[in-house]
Amino acid sequence: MEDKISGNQMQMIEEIKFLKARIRELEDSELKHKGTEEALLQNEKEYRDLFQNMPSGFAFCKIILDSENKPVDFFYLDVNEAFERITGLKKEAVIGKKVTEAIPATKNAHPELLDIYGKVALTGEGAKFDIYFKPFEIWLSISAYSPKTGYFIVVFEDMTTHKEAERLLRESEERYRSLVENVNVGISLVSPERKIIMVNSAMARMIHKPASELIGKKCFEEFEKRGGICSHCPGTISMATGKSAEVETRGVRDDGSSFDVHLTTTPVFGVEGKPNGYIEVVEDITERKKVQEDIKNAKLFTESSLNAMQDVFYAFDLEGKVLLWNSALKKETGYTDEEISLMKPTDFFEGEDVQRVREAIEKVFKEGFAKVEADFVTKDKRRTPFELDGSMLKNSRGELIGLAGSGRNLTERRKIEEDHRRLLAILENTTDFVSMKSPDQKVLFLNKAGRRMVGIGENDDISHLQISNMHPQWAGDIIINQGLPVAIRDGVWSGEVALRHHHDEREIPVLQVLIAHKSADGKLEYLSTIMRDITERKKHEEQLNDAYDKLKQAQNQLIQSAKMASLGLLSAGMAHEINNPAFAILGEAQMLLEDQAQDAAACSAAKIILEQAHRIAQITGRFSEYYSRKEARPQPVDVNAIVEKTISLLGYQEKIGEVKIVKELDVNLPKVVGDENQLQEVFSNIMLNAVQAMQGKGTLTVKTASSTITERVSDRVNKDRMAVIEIRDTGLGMEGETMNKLFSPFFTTREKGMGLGLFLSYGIISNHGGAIEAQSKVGEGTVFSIKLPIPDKEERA
Amino acid sequence: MNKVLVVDDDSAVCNMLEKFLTHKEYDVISASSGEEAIAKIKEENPRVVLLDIRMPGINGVDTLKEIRKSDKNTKIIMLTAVTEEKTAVECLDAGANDYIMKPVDLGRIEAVLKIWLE
Repeated sequence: MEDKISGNQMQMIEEIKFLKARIRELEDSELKHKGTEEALLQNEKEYRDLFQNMPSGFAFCKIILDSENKPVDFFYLDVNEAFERITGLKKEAVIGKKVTEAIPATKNAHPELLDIYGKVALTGEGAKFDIYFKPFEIWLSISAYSPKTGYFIVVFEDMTTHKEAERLLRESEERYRSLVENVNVGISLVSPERKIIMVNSAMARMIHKPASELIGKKCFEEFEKRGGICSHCPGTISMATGKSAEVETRGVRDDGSSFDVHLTTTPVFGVEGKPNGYIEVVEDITERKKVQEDIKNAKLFTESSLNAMQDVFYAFDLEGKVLLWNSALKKETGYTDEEISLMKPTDFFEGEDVQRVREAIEKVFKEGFAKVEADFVTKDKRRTPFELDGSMLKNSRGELIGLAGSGRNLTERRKIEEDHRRLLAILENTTDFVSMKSPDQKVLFLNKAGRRMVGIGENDDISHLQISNMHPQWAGDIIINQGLPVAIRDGVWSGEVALRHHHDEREIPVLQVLIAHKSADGKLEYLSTIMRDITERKKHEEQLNDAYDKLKQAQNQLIQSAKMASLGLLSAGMAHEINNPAFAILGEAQMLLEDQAQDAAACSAAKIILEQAHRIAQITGRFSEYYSRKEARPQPVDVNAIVEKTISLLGYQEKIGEVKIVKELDVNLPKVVGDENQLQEVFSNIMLNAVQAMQGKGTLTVKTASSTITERVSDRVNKDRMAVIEIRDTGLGMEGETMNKLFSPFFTTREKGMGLGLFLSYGIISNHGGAIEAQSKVGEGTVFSIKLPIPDKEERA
Repeated sequence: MNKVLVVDDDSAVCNMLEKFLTHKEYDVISASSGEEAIAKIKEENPRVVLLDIRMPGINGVDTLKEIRKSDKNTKIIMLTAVTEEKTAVECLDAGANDYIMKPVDLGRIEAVLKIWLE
């Protein structure tokens, strides 16, 4: 700009120099040739022509000073044509006039002009300046000099057009600078030596350093932290070829952080038309790179996700061309990627499946989704069951472009279903009650056996079943108070409870196992219960208890009879030992009695001795009956008849008093084999005891009957028919201690009595192969039961 | 002479019977064991023997059998306690002529002896 302006100014300066030289020449010649009017006039004409033809405006003026020598105005002595053209004022209106008259606005608009001109006129020092001359609204470039003290010449030029161009240029430059500054790409100007001449703020921002610190530095050091010119530098290319060049590289900041950039260089041409540096436009592509990376990653992620899937994945277009699939599809079908890319969806199936799959695909295109079960036929012709689904595949504009879906191998599930069916079959066919309940006790499942057990039909609703209507109250209480808490705490509980039949309300004894199924975090998910009908077991237990009782009883009897036998043996041994001394006493006493017949006192004593010796003999004699059975003559006897006879003899007893005798005799009672006298003795013993126990008041009931006693001894069943004679009194009854000694010898509760009656009765009945037992209750009475075996028919015959 | 041999290990019984039978004018000899009885029978040749069954050493039954091996004539009456009646009955089969159960009235002994001595 400076240069461009200087073209005209140089020209003007040259003219002024020329004029100055002419004026000096004129002055010199005036001084040399004083008064030479002619020469002067000639010169003046030349001078005037020169002025008149000058392209610049020209004014010759005389300064007007005030009393204090201060310039206050000036006279226009002469102006040229260019003056008229530039100012628009006619010579006549200017020459000879003061400026305050010719251009009155000047003094107020530009008071400094008077000072400048005054100084020029008075000091002879030239002045040169541009001014926007307000009165005419034009730019003027003014040169003023003084040819003579008090006078000055003004040469000026209209610079308005030029100034406007300059302003426009400046504005354009401002816009350009602002653009460069504000654009979001980094821009720098680099010299061929790679010195940074200029950087914009975007570039400075990018490199995290103020522009002032970058200018003058080497670009490779600042932008990429390298020790020399970058091998990839596009500036090198631009300067060599004169064309733009570009590269993608990585900027490095002082702190080591880096950023991806796209670099474009454009050569800058010097005066010689040769590249003289280059402009570098730097675009930060870190984000773009990241996005690209993200897209790449996303694609990779999608692919690896698809391939990580156990399920097969497929997508195909409307024509059935397979677009996308995962490795599972390859694995499951055995086809390669190339083969799959050439196949249509239905190529993977055969038989009826082809049509089913085709229909499912049509359904997807019509309704958006479909599911189908079909067998994939592998490359080697194996069939694998699959559950396949499909959804509409749409592009970003929402247009249907195909189908995407996945498929699950059902082999495992089929196996699980099969296992499930098998387990269910076991559950359904077990004889145990099996049910499953939700934590709120709602019955979810009840197997056939369970339904049968409680009388619920196979199709009956089970949701209403509760502990309260499944079990009797007592069992429900156990389950709720004991079973559930234990099962929830320990996982399982078992106990013996009972179910209640739905219709007849009967209790079914069961062994219940209650299982609490919990999730991994310990939350109760559901309860299951197994109940086994233990009716049979209970029955067996009872039978076992019965058998045990019987065994115990038999054992007691055995002990009793063993006791009785040993007691008998002891007693018999004693009796035998007593026999000899008793015999000796008896004999001696008898002889004494005969010898001392005349001595009354001796006779009396001998008699007593004899009597007592007889008593001893009687006692020992009775034992002999117990053991020797000398008189036993076994033959069929009618028990009823013996009973009748015994009762009739009883009538003679004085102690019978008001005792009532009741007979309940079984007329069909078969005969037994025994000794009538012995049996009569036994009945008599017992009846007499009964009468005595009643103390003259009460009822004696005598009952006969036949019964069958079944005994199981190892694998042999003994069935014995027995005649039972029951003798019941309503007497005093006996205490336990008395009962225990009842059949022992010499045990009696009476003052008179040897205590051998029941002992001997026991022996007699035992010898008959029968049994005798007593039951008694104090205050109520005593019952004696005598059992005698009834012989088999052939035995009787 | 009505010679009677009383065989009983119980001296009280033996003495009593000896005294009684002597009083009743029998010629009484006695033995306190089976061995002695067998010897005395050979020595004295009694007409009747009252033989107690229960004795230490050779009991009455064995003694009876021993006697009967050589002597079928001597009357042998077994003396037995009530508890041994079955044995006494068996003795009849073994050659005894009768049995008497102790204790017994002396009159009965005399009566039985009379029967067998006639």
